[in-house]
Amino acid sequence: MMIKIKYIAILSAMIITIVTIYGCISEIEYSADDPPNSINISGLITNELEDQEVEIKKVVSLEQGATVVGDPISDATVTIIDSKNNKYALPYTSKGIYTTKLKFVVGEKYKLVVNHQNKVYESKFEELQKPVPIDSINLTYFEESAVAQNGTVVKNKKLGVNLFTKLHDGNKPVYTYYRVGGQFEFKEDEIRIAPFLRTCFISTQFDFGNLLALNGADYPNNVIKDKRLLATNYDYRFAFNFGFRIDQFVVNESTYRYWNNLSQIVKPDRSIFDPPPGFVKSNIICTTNPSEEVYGSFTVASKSSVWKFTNSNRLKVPMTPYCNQFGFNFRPLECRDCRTIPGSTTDKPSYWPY
Amino acid sequence: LIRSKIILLTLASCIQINMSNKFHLLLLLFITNLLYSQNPQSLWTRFAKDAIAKFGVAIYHDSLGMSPPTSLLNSASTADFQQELNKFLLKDNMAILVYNESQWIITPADLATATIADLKSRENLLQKSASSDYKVIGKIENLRKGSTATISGKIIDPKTNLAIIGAEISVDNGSIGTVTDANGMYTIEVPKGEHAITITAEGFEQHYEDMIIYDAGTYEVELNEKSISLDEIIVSEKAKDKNVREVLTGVQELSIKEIKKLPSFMGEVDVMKSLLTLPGVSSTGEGVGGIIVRGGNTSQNLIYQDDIVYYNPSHALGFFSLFHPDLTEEAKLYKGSMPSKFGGRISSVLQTNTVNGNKEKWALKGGLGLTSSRIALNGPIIKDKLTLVLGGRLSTINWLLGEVDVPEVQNSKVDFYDLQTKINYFFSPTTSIGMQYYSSNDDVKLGNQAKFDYQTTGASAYFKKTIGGNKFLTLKYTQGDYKSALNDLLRVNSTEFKTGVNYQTLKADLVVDDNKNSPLNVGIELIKYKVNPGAKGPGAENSEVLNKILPIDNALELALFVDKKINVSSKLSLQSGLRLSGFANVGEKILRYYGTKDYFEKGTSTSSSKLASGKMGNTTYGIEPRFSANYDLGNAASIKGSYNRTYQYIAQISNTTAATPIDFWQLSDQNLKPQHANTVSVGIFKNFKNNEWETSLELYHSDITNVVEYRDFADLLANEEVETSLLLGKGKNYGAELSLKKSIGKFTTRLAYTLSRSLRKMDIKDDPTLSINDGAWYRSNFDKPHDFNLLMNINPSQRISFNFNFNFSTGRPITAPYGKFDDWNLLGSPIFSSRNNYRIPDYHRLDISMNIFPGYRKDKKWKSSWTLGVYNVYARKNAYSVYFRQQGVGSLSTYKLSVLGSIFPSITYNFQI
Repeated sequence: MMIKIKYIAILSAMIITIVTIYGCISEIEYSADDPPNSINISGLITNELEDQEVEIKKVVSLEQGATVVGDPISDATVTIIDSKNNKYALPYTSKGIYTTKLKFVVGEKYKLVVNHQNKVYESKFEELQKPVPIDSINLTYFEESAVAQNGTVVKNKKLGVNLFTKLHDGNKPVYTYYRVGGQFEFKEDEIRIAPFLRTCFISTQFDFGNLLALNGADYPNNVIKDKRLLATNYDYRFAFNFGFRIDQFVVNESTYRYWNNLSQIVKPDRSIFDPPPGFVKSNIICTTNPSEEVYGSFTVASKSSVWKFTNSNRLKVPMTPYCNQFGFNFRPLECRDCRTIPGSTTDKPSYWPY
Repeated sequence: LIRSKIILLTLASCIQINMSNKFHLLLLLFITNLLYSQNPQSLWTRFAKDAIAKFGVAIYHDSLGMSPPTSLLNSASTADFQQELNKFLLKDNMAILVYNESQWIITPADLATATIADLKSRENLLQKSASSDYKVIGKIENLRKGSTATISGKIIDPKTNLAIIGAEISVDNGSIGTVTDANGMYTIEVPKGEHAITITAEGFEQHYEDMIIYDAGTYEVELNEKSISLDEIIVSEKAKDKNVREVLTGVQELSIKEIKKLPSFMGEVDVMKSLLTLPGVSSTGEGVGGIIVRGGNTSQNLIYQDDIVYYNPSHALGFFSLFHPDLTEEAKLYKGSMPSKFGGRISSVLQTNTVNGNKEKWALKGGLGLTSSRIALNGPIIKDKLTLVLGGRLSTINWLLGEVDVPEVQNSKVDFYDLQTKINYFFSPTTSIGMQYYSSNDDVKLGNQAKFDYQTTGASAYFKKTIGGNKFLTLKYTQGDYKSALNDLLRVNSTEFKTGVNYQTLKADLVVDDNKNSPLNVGIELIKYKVNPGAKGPGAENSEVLNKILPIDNALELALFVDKKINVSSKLSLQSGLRLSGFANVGEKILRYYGTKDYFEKGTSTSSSKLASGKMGNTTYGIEPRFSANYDLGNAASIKGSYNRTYQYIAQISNTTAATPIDFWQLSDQNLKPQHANTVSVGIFKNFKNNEWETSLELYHSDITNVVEYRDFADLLANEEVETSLLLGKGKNYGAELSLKKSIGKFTTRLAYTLSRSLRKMDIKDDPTLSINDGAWYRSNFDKPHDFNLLMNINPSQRISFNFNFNFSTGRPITAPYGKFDDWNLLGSPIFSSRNNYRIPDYHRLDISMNIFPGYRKDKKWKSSWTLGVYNVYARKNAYSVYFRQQGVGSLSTYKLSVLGSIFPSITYNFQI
């Protein structure tokens, strides 16, 4: 009898605790209304000489499926205008992207104007802020505990990208947000004579779905030390040499708020204690029909970047290459031809240190 | 002969009555042959002669000049004679009464309009009053002052000196009846005269008494325990027809014995959860503290344990409540009408009472459960003078966590305890003092993810004095404190957030009972607040979070209140009250002003000033009329109506739906104006089958001003300009509540259905872009249109009972995405709907439980019972929340978080010594 009581007690304790901690989470069917027939304008211009891009697409309904992307809009006219009324046209390239190679001026104000089907979409003037360089970044391996559905604890291997930088321009705190990209080596692995096994350099965004926006005023002396920007799964991408590129964008307050709000919506580790999400207002309005909601933003930012290279040997955490996971008879295509991987090139980048 | 006897007895009573009269006139009566006489002199002469001849007494006293007046002697007719004689007699508080054509009776003046039957009855009562077979209440001279009398008193168990709740008082075989309340008190209005009173209570011997009632009075009875009885099965909690006769609308009472019968989560008897079986009361989800009353926010309910206010009434983040079931006597929820002695919240008041100390004997109660254990001690330190109530609870789940072979679980803890004591000293039956102390602590650690600590402490002292038998004066001082701390335990940027409320209350309350069931209540209340609106700092040594400590906010709230029940007629009763409340901030405080705009934007304050330390400013006030009426339709039916205005000077700021430790309290100031509500309720109440079945239908509508809502993505924690993250707007709650209840017999049930809406409107005229949902009315977080609860108790024998509880409610509103867009590297960024435009799935759940009461003899010291329960019988995974998560690039998935997704069996052992 006592054994049974103890069993029931332990079982109950497990249930209540696990439920308290993690709840009982299950995916459910969800039905939402179709959104209005709106467009999504996403533009970024910086102080660096590079392709300045504005992307225009249709907004997608959730009902259309989780992975469906909006139809690109190719018949718009896109112009950047500065405070002196200088106009910079961005011609259409592809996939809804309008681009031109330019370098914008720190301290100047710019706005975006898009004409599409007799409608005019216009942003506010946004000032290009003074850039703030990154001091350094650090890559660290760590293990993160997680509780599986069956209640057991598993250790996930992670690679963290930590940042050291000041968040002021010498006079005042600045607002920043980050993008973490990079490249990794991918080696073909197959029994064959020719061609020789190739090494590809795969460009990727490590931070898809992640966004971090910071306010310098939130940190002592407006400086951050060893702040984790990103933690990504430590997997085959890091079996050989790899590099992380951190882009730090200095923006004005309203832009920071936009990205910070958006980050709260999309961050993957949302919990029930997070503020409920809401509507993120764009800085672009439809001037010919003000009641039409416009999604996206026009971001004017100064940019500074840092690369950090390393490999699994240096991290002292061996990682099995991708192709070694398969028997020779079942190796996938990319193990025979790594050039099929999106973002791949066999040309070694000039900045590649190895 | 019989007539003469009656007359003589009447005479005797007159003499008795008038012995204190300086004239001591004496007798009087009679006479035959007067009626047709036309000679006034003859009339008087014969009147006097017959009196002397028959009774040997004079009808006047010469020495006092009581000779027949000339007018009497000159009376032209019998009528004139009577009239003249009455003029003469009334001077001495007497009157002449026509007995029959040939006989008159001289009576006390107040009997001038009595019938002969009245006189016969009166003499009959007098005769019986002299017998020891009858219990007499009141004095004979008050017999004619009104036709009914209010009898009140207390029914107690002499063995324990505890009140007997639910004892039935039946008058004349049930023609009139009532039931004792949670304090063992009863009040009943009965016709004056002779009655047979029967008092019964489960487990006690029946008490019978013949009674003669002349006037209002008290009648207290001790009921002896049956030789074999049960302790935990008394169900009745109030007078049978109290629901019909109660003037206030929307009042719900639950005795702890009724609460103990409800199926409960993990076998823990829970006052707060039991309220969810009532119409108009719901929650935001399982494992969530606080209740929604008629669509109001959880923070708009004033929750008392005696005089201590609970700002967070929950243990373990809401799985359990702070109320110790063995130390709580009853819970009374005012959700419609609110007596004026209550104020400071606009939605409802929950008044719970701690048990009173036993004056004669020590008793020990307790329970052993899977998640917590409890104990309660109650008895006299000095018999009949000084009593002590002491008890506490302790969570017992942690030793079990160590048995779970999951490191993350082992690293978690759910610690809570509460400790409660109450001491009363009785100087005399009319004068007493008392002290009470409450302390609770919760320490919850969720793996390596978060840590919540929160404490509630409170202490109160009172002085009670009964003055002149009908004036009840109470002076109270209460001090309380609520603190909470959240630490998210993140490795980087670990944040600790602390907040709290401290208050001190002085209250004087005087009740004047006129013994006509229309008491007057007047009083004054002064509250001093010290609120910590938030302190944020690093939660770990390497955290980058900066310390940010907001200054303590001080304020004073003063209220004067008066309430009076008025019985306008036998059908119509009114209860009218007025509360005048005032509020002022107290320095030191920075006051920011934002001009005339109807919103506050960060960095746009037009001016600011500093309120010096200790100095008052921003004084505001509220006039709060409270009015209720009850019209008796007869046949145990009534209609009621009420109007209430309520003010709230402290608001809980939250951007989550559920009450969590990151919510904090904020005092009103020059920007965040006090919330106030105007609430109208009407209802019809009807009982059937001698009050066995109670039914009611109530409608209510509440308009709320200065409702606080958070802006999208509000930055609330330790924000010194928190008003810039908030909006002020309007709210309205309305609905209908249907209740059906059977509380007597082997089968009892309660069915409650509520159809309601709770809406908000944030229309910011000066910047429409800040308006929520374009300034239109939208669903509040607490809008649950349908709420249905069915509770059934079956008691096939005194040793066992079965309980079923089923609940269904509409899912609460959420803000959900309906589209997505790509912005830069954020593919599939969700587009969220207008505020609260969607709902989580509907909620429903079935619970069952069984109570087993082993029989015991009254001399048996150890008494025990078992409660076996199954919570969430069909393992419904009710959604606590629905949220959306990015799953890879551009993919958005919808998830439902169920706090309880399984069946929860429980077993609890209760004991009493």
